[in-house]
Amino acid sequence: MSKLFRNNKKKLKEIDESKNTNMFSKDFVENIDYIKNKLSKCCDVEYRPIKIINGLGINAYIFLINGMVDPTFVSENILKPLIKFEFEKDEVASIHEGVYNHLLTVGSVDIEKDLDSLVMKIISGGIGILIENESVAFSVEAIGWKERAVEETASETVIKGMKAGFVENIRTNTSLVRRMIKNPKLKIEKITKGRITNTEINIAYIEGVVLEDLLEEVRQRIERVDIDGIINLGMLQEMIDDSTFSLFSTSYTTERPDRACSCLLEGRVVVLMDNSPFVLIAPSVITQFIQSAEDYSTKYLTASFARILRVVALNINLLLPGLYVAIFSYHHEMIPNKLLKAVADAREKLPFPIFLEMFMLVFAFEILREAGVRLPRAVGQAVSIVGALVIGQAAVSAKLVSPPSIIVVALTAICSFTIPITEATNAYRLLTFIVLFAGGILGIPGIIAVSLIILVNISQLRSFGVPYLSPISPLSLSDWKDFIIRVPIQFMKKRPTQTAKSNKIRQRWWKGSDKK
Amino acid sequence: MFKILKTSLSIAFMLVLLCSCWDRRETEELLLTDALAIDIPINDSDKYEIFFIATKQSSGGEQTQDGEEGGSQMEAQPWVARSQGKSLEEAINKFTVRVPRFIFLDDNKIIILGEKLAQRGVGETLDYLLRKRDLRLRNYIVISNGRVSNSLAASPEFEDGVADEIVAILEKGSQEGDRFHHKDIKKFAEDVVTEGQDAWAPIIEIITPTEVVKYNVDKAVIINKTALFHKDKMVGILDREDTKGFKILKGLANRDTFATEINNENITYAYNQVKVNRSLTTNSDRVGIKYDVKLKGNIAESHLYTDFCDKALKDLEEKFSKVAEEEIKSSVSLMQKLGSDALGIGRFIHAKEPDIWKNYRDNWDMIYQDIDIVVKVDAKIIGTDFISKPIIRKSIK
Repeated sequence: MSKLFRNNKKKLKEIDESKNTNMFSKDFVENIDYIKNKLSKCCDVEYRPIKIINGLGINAYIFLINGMVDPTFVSENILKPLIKFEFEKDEVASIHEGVYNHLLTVGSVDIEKDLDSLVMKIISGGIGILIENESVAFSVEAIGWKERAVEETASETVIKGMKAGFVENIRTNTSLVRRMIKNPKLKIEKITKGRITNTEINIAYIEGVVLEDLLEEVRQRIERVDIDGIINLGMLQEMIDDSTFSLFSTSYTTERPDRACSCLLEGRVVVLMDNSPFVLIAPSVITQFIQSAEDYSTKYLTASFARILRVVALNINLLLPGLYVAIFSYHHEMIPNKLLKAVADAREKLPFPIFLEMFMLVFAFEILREAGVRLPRAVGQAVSIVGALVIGQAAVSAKLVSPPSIIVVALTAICSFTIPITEATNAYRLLTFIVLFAGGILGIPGIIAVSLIILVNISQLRSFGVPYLSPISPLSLSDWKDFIIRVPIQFMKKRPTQTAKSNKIRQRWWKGSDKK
Repeated sequence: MFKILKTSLSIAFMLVLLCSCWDRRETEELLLTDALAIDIPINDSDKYEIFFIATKQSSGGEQTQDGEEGGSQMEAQPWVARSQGKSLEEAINKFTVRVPRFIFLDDNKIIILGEKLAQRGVGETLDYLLRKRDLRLRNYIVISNGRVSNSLAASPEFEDGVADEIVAILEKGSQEGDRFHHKDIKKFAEDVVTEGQDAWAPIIEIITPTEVVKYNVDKAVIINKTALFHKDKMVGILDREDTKGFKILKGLANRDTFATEINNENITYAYNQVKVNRSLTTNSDRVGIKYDVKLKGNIAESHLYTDFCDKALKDLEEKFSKVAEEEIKSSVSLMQKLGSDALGIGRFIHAKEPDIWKNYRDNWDMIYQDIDIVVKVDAKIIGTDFISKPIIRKSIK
């Protein structure tokens, strides 16, 4: 075991060593060898010597990674000017100044004095240009890898409202946000995390609206992360989340730029990560369980009705299987006579107790859901047909399950799809099982006990310092305007009190007011 | 930490005691009783005869052997079983050895008492039923005309079983006037134990239907009579007409009819609003009670070939007031004769004049039979239910 740790320490040391600075030496060949050495055994790396500045024929070397740069851009805007263009040597103080000012006709050019930094730029989709007898090099951003176009979101679809969703490219994502909030107060800070992956993470917020303490907290939590690589946003979310041991996630992710922007306007912080089509919203509170992006695109009455529906559906999803088992196993006196007779009639001669029957059905549904997500789309449809029709119908015909139980599970399943937040859906999937077990073992008192435990758990949760249950607890009536019911937009004059303490006013009635 | 653990364990322990898996009972293990019928057995060795009317679950959606879709689904069968014993509990317990199910009385809807039992006294039975944990107080109580076993032999016309049929008639009787003609065990017991108040209960009867309906059923259940009690014993029966008057005075009637003849032509008054106001009258030393009954309704059927002018309507109103008054008075005098204070006159005097009641209390049974009960009916005609004048001319008849 100790050997293993020693090895790990050794590896870490190696990686850390790579972060040491290596300034350019005066020897051109040595510099080239250093980069070649660093990028050795990388078949996608391409390099070649060139003669730059027409007439002078100074030796230079360019490095790039095939597939990460745009070949047309490289040949038209970098190679062609470097080789064909010229300038008077007397007009410039040094060659590299001449190259920078006269030859490189592109915008994003950095002068690199550190070899390792240059290597980093190359592997991030840049072109490295080294010139003989110069103590600096150039890195030109020429990213041109294939990427997914901005498409409709898959996980948060709406009928009315913005269709575009975030993509894997962080710059496209920041541009989507920037397009909506055209204000210099929208700040996007960059942090690179992952000792090996060097993943770019951006923290977006609106200066003057966001709470400094909150921003600092988010920054610190991200800074504290020390890991070899962050592959997806979920890893980062889990590492900076408050509630490691709770089923509820205290930060939500979204795929929708409009949702991210509306959170920014409420004084929240949005964390974007390269290669992730989702962004993280911090802080997140329980009210967001029932808020959908579409609520603001439809009339407030319709939106309020939809939210009430979601609240009901949320509770059905959580409690129905458990209550069904509890009532029909322990509390028969609560059931209206005709309903009891109907269920007793349907359950006659079934081999399983009602608890086991319900557990099997809920579990089977979870298997179907999991299969539906994992399988290719074309096959997924077949699975749903097989699951819903064939298994359900066959199970009833074979007298393994009763039709009322199928109705209960189907209703629970349908209700789970009304929750707009993926994190909430996932939490409720597990909680449904817990409530089912409590109902099956302890009846309604068990369900009450579990509900209380859930309530105690969520009431002590905090999301980046904000109580998770706000505005229910602590009570903030002004925030209830955008909770179970959504009042007309013109009445929502203030930002949520918990996230925008310093700059609450969002809307003013009179004209000519200062824009916030 | 230790405190939290201690608290959690205590709560968990209490939860387990409150309700846990050993209390679990599957729905298919229950015998869902619809009605409980109690009577006196024919042989005198036992004191009680008890009938359980339950629904036997079907096998639920079995397919036919030839695999036809939908299959033949067996209907839930009403199930009646009889037992007898020296006590009610003994009679119930005798079932447990022959029924492989848990007898679930929580969903019982109706209790049928035999006429003989009611005449002997229902006090003991009522006490047992009221104190039984799983029997609900909202069970309806009805008296069987004759033996209970005869009533249970009725064939339900619209519902699955006799019990359901009786409950349906009580709750949703075709005539709205009958809708409130039901009594639950709690109200019944209150009437039995309340001073100056006697109990009453609807009577179920079996009739052999006429030619028209005999294709459907052999014996049908009807409920239009009332059993009157004094203390815990049944003392008499109000027939259909007397029950009508009784219901009006009790404020239970919503809609009913009074028919009479004018110039040998039938005319029927259907009231749909009833207001009853009762007051005490004191005449020298005697206390009397006065019922002011205000009826509002329409002329529901008329074969008179006259226009209803104001005077004619006035005359009709007087006529109907008189008819109603007579019917109600007949009902009242029968109740006095039987000595059943189902109207709660004693209770009313007790509430209004406690001092007088102190004198009446011990001899109320005697006083009640001689007390002056004045009934004044004011029947108002709002309009007619007709959409035209008589179509069949008099000359044709």
